[in-house]
Amino acid sequence: MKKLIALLLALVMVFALVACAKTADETAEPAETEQTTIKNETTDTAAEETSEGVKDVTITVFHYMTQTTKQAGLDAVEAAFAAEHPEYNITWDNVFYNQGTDYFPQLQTALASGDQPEIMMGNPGLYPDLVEQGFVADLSDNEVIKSLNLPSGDLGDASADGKLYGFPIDFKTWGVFYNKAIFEQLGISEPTTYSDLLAACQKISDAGIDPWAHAFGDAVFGDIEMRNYIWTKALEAGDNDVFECLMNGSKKLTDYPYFTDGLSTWAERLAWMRDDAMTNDQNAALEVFTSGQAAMMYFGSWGIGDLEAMIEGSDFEYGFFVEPIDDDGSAKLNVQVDQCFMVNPNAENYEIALKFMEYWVVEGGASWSAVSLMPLLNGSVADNAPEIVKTLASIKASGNIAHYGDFTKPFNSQFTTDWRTYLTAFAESYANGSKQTPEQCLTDMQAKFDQNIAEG
Amino acid sequence: MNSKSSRMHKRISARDVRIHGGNMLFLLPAFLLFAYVVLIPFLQGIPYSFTNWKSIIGGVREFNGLKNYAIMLKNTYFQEAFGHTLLFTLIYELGANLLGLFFALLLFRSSKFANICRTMMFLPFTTALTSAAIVWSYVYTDVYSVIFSAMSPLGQSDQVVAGIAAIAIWRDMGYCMLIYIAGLKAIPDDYYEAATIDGASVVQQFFHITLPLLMPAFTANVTLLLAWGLRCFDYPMAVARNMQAAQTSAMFIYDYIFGYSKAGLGQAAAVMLTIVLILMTRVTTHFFRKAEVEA
Amino acid sequence: MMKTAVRPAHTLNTIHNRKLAADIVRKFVCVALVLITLIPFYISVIYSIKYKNEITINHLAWPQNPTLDNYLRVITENDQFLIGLKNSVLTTIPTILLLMIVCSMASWVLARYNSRFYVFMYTLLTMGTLIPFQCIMLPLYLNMYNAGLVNTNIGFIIARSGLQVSISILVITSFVKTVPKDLEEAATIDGCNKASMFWHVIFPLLKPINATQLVLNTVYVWNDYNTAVVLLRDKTSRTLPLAQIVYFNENTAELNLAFAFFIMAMLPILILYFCLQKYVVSGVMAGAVKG
Repeated sequence: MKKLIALLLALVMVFALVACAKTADETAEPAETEQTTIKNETTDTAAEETSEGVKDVTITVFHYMTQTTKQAGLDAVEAAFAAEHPEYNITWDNVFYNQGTDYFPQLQTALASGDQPEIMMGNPGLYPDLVEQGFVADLSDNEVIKSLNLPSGDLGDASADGKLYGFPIDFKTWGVFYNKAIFEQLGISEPTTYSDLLAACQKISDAGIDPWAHAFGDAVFGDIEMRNYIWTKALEAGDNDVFECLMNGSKKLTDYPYFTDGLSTWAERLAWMRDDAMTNDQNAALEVFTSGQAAMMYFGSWGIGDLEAMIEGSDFEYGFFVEPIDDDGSAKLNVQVDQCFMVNPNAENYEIALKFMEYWVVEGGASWSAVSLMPLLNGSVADNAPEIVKTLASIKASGNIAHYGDFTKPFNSQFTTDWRTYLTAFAESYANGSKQTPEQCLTDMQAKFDQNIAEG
Repeated sequence: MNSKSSRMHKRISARDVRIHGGNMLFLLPAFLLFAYVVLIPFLQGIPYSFTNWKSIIGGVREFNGLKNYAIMLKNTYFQEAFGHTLLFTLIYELGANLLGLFFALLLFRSSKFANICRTMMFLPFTTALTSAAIVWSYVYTDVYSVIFSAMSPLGQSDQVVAGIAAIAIWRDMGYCMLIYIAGLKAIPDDYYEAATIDGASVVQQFFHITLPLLMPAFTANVTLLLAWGLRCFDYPMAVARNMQAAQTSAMFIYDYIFGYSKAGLGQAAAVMLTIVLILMTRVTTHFFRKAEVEA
Repeated sequence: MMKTAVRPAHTLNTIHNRKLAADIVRKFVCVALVLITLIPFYISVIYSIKYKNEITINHLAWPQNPTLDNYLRVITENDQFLIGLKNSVLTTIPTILLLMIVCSMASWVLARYNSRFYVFMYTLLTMGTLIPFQCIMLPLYLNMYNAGLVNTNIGFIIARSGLQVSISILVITSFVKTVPKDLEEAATIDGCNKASMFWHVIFPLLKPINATQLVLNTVYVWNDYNTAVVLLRDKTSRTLPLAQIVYFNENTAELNLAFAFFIMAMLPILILYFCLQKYVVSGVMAGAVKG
């Protein structure tokens, strides 16, 4: 035992020595211009004029881009900006968390203790507290953003209460990805009406193939299957304030016919569910889809990279269509701003951070897109991006879309969680055969909404 | 307590001062750590539960009395979350303790074979909770579903708590086993020798010697698992975040304080939960301590 | 399992056979249960040695082209892996040693005295196991931030130790209660003072439980995510579990890498456990009890 304790202590000392030696090495090295790697504790303090007149600054970026491609994209933009601005010696402190569990809690904890990060990722509408407490700069009069002439939806997703608070970068969308080989083999063409879609499902099912790969293990998948219907119909009906009214309690879910109708149509599609539908996460569902076990997958643009990586080297081909929501052809591509960044006016290097974001939305967009392969808001996309991304970008550029930013307010985090939870429960009832009616689902959801509202 | 201690209260001698002063010094380091990290932060949080505090990053904090408590008591979703937590804890306690004791009885005599088995059984405990949960989501879909041609419990509201409890049992039964083995080792062999000479059967020996003398081990395991179970957070957070039926009290509190900007309400829920947990554990410990004394 | 009594000679043979048969059955049951227990590890290994684009209908089958590529990628591509490893070692070891000393001391006192004050202290200290971390998270962070302990190894050591005090005392106290007082009484008569009695008499007696606690505390501290994610924001201070955030996000997971990471992160604990195995449940204790 004593030997072991001695051994453990020796281990600590060895590691500590190694660490010290490493730090010493780093300090011994002449300061390099590109300090994108580990930042040194001793040189942590920002804004020091060095002898050559180069200003040392630290820019802290809080974000939730855990995908390595997106992180590399951020690094690329930062490097490009630093190259344009030799007058600053910038240390980039990119702090990232998982959005679903840690991002907002950690960001809030940091802010509560007095930390002032320069840049914070997020759509301002989803983080009203940051706006209310003055942690986010008002960009309504920002000339650079104005010069982009972005459509109302893109600006809406970067706004809260009618004021612009964020720099929108790119967008995401969702729809049906299908296996081209299976469609060809069964003589199915991309359905344009809902009846066509159901007929296609039946045909695939009759051929002994599962029509759908589902991933309801991830909360967002129930949500995106319903969004297509709800967003399109609500915007068509001019109910731009639907989410705001549901959140303040002035309207109920059943006041809008499209919630019931949307659930009914979804229920028809849910007639074909695999046993793994409820527990699959995106990866598992993608495996089912790419292995040819299921012909279609309702899926979002954020996972195209994963899909491409999975089918690399195989002859798997997939296509994409916007899911038809009725037989009148009213379906539209859904669009939501994906990466969006807010700038903190209280931060030490606010001015430089602002310049950086202004750079990103104009010249830096190319660097970002080339590495992250994300489609930019103006419809431009990197040459090396998959075909599908280019298609999506061109549809977005055409303007025939249903944009989340055109709603007056998005659901806040609690309502989003509840919305998704009850949609998942609805899907589950079709997996186990208990088959909730749309009315039942909406009653349960409304009861939870009422509780949220009553709590204030 | 006993008569000795009540006398102590009346008359404190120099010897008492020396003994208890020395004891204080022994208690102090642990207490300081505990106070700084757990006790003080917890006490600091209590006043917030009497305010209308919304976002933790600022804003007004006005005293609103017991309103938060009244709201949370009436919140059926909070009650449901507590129900899920209780159910989880119950399954977890039973499963982990019974399996742990079973393995301990199988493996407590040291031999090469037993040592290897013990090591293997303990292996799950070395995993992080979140990792364990994620691996199990694949066990359920790749193994469980294939063998039993059933859907994974993690996707079914009526089974999800049991499914999560199974993960926890898998992870912690090795721990229980170790404590039981330590307990079994502490029972002197001559007790059994004497009992055998008296003609007691193996079963009789188990119920009259092993079980009673294992009481301290039971107490340790049951109270610890109770605490772990009632604070269950990581497992459902990792694999059943979107299942209403898997929402636990700790998740509820986390969401209210950090996610939904209802910090005052969340703190009230936290205080109530802690009180309930303390009461439950007190009752359980009391029960087991009594059993220990009787044994 | 129980000791078999001496029986007349003519039944020895059958008893021997029966014992042998029972032993085989017991071993068979053990092996079967162990294999079932290890299924999740088998799955992890399979995923960790598979290329991302190797899609198999049967997930349990051994991959056609097993590879260590994922392990290499974790070490080389994840810049947090080695930093995390270093920080985890530098925080875990001091924490477990600190806990061993501090909690043995406290537990001994708490187990030996049962006047109202000690019972109260025991209750208070062990109550820590009942407080959900989520409700002390914010005040703890703010206090440590103001004390300059955030983003430091020492801060993490303090926080983790404080969080483990309750469980450690709970376990060690119940152990101390099973240790007879004879040795202490003898030492008292010999004129031993409290400190030297603890160090020379009690602490050695607590060896089995301390070995156990060493392993258990290592598990808790090494695997800790919730505390680390709050207290260690700075990249240079982050511990190993935080290095895996990169593999999981809202909608996608780098599964093969995640599993390779998972297995590598577990190895140090396993090594420690193998080293300590003979202490963890050793017969030392039984000897001390008898002596």
